[in-house]
Amino acid sequence: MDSSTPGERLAVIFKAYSIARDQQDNDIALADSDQEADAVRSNLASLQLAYLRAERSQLEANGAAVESAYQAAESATDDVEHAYRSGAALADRIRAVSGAVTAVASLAAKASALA
Amino acid sequence: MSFRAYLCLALAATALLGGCAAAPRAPATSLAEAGVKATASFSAEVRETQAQLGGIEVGDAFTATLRQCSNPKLTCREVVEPAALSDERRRLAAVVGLRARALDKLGAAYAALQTEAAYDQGADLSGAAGDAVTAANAFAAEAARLDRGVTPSAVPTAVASLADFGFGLLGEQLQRKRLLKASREIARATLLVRNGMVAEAGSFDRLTQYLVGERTSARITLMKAGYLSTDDVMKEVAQQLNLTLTVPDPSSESYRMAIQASLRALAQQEVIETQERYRAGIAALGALLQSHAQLEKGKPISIAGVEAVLTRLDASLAAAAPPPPPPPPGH
Repeated sequence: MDSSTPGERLAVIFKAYSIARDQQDNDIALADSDQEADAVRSNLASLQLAYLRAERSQLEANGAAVESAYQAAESATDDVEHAYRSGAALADRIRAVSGAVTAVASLAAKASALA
Repeated sequence: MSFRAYLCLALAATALLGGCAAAPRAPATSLAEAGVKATASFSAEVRETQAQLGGIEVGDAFTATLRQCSNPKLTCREVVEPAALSDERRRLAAVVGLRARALDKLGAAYAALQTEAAYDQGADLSGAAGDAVTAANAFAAEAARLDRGVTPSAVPTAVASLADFGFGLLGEQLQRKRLLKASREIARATLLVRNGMVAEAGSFDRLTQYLVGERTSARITLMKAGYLSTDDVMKEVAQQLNLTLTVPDPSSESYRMAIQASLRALAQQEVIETQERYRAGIAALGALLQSHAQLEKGKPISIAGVEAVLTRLDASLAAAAPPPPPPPPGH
């Protein structure tokens, strides 16, 4: 199996962030409580921070752990996309994005040569 | 003057350099003028990206608070993004600023060459060329670190070398002339900057998508809340469809969704145009390098390849360019 490139790793992090960002209007509009709205914003801020740091840092490291983390990030991003496309309830969307936050953070940590 | 117009001027100027090898001052002046213009245009483009990165948080505070307070189930309060986000954007903006600084230093070197060639007086050519090479080296190292993860001792040589631009077979005796020596030093800096820009193109593409996406997201929020007119979007849609449109019900869900979809499509066009300008800047630096080589060889200059790129660029930019201002009264 070919290993992922730094550009592909950055792209999956950016994709997870941009999907969630483009839906934040609806998410906040549908929030039933401040806690839910805060969870939406917290997830989004974490994804954005992960993207900005990844852009500035190095995602050059290779190895099985990096590939595993990359695939997990891809899968988690697919889950986010599916949650929004299928009109899942807000709580499920928050859960999906939270999963992407965890997966993306793991990818960034493992692939960063500075880690 | 627009970026495209600067490029055309720069390339037109380089096209005039042929057949003057025996008296290099005139072509050196033209080359230097092209270099000053091309670097100024490219630098302005890069500084715009840097400025946008540093200016997101204010608009974000407004739209985030607006979203919060538009939902009656939520407590209406100020929403400000975490400080870590704005800090990180500032760090990234500083890295982007290195590109502009390198281009500015390169422009200063071309300006020194211009003075030297025009007046044959003591312009600080060696200092300016040295500054340009130093700045270009710093930028190239940073750019390579950004996109490749390796800080090189020199530029990423896999991208291009001076030999790729025809410098390999030049006679040593040509370099005895001060102008030609300076030209070669400046060409080295131009190559460094060009290679750095090539290495960093992927990063620039993503940053462009990020910045345009942030603006689009804010515009959609503001339009939904009634803080921003939809007129500009409708005007763009009508122009691109080449039709006169009427809006039967501006408050309808169908209109709102159609506007939103159009905004996203327009944003994608903006992303592509910005990325094309970046690549045109790289092409302009390549054209300058070829002109440096031709200057040393005393041969006519061909920019047919770059002209082909610019022809494609013209076609895409013409579609997106704002309409010209109306003529003054009486014309």
